[in-house]
Amino acid sequence: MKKIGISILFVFLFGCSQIVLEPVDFAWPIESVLDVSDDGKVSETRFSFTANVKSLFFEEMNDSSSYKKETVRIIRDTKGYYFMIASGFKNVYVFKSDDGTFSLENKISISEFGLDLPAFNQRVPYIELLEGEEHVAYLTSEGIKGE
Amino acid sequence: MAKFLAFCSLFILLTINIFGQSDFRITQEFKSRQRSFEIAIEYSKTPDELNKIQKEIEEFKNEFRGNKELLNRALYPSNFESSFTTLDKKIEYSRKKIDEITNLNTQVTTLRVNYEQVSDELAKLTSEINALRNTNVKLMAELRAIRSGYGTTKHKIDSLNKVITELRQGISQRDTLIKEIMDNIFMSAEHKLETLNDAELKGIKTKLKSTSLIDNISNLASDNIDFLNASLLTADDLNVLRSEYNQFDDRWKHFGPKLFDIYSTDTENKDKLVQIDTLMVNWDRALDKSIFRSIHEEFKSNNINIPLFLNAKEFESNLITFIDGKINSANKLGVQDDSEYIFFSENVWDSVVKTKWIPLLLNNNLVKNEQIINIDKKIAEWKKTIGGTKSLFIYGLIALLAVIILISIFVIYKKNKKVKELSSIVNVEPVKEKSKTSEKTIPGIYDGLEDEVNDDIDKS
Repeated sequence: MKKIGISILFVFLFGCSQIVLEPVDFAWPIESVLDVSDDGKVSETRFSFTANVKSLFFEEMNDSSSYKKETVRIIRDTKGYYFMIASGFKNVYVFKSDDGTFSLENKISISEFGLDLPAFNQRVPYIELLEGEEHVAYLTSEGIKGE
Repeated sequence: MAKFLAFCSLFILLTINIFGQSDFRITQEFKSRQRSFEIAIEYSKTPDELNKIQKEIEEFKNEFRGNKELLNRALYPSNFESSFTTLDKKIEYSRKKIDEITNLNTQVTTLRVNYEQVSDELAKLTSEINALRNTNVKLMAELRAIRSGYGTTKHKIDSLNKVITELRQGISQRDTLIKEIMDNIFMSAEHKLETLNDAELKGIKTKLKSTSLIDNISNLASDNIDFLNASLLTADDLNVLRSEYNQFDDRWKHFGPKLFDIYSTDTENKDKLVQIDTLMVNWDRALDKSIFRSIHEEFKSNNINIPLFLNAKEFESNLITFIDGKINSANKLGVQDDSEYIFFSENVWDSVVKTKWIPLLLNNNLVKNEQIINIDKKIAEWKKTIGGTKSLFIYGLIALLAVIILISIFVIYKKNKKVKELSSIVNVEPVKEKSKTSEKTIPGIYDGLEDEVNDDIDKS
């Protein structure tokens, strides 16, 4: 009886153990520039996702209709975090995908007055932030590096 | 050490990227310029333009070569090299297209030249047709005028034949010209007449109008009918005319439906085409009638009076009726001169009609063999009748001669008998008389005897 109990415990422990595949590079080669639809959604065809970004704009602008006719720039870093920004934003928002949602990982403050022409470049292991043709910062999910 | 290396790489990145450029923007610019080249290739019109574009693409490639890695990833599912391969393919395709267009342009130029030549030719043919029609109209009037006094003198007959020959040649020439016009108009488009576009259809209609083709075909058929109705032609002439009709009819059957298609919505021209259809049928009938009329003329010119026949049935029945008439008259008279039969049978029927005309009739399915056999049988019947009456006549004649000969023999015999009797009397009496009347001479005695004999004959 004792042996059977040990066997069951062993099978249970073995079956529940996690498999980890590594390394994984989630990095997108370039940012995606997505127009926000009237109902506040953006769709990425190459990487196949659709997200509602109304809350993002509300968070940044404190205005529920500020998303209209706007464009969101999104890039994913090698670790799998999503970096999002739009014109006029003072912050870069870092999300991770979680059970059918984007959950905010970090909100990185960039500019006191907001960026007019923000853009992301993939510079593994960082994400480069530009204002027009001007370099602004290298980012990770944790914040600005080496500013 | 690791921290030191990380610091160094960050420093290098920072120093390089004080003025950075968005990868997205680079990619967009690449795509945008690639698209511009594609449009330029599509719109290029000459090989030179393509060569120029090809050079610019080469420069463009070199310009973006530094971003090859980025573009390989960003242009997914395409990549840097495949983008240029696509452009190269487009250039090659365009080059082929331009070559084809250049060839087509050359062909169009050639066709345009041909078209102008054909148009000139058509104009020339049309004017020739008009001239011929005028001549034909004059000749037709002349023909009618001469025919009104036909047969009066050899000179008039010769004139008539000359006019007929000229007219026939004129009409034939015009037929040929019209056939050429039909060929010229439909030559280029015949194989694709069903799929002609509006411009091509318009071109054909213009040609048809400028050459008055429909009117000319209509006039041609009418003139041929008039000519056939007005002329007496030889078997050879009619053979040629039949062959010309057949050729034209074949063409009409080929091009007629196409003309109906072209003018399917044009009521006026459609009506004209329907009229031409009717004229073609009448032309065919006029030819048939002309053959029968000419055969009748053969009989007439040989003083054989048979009622006019214009078809096979009338031909057979009129001839048989004529021969029956001859047979019946022979039976009534009981005596028949066989020269009429010989003339009809040998000189006209066998030598002329059967030799020249019957083959023409049979070839054109205008009579059946049985009908000719029926006429031959009737002629043979006539011959038998001639043979019978001749025998009776000869027997009768022989019997009559026999009677005449018998009577003559009887008379001579009787006469001789009297002479003998007288001679015996003369031999006895002269001595007596001499003794009685020595003054009487012998001639005197003879005269007296003659008177006596005559008296006896009268009495008897």
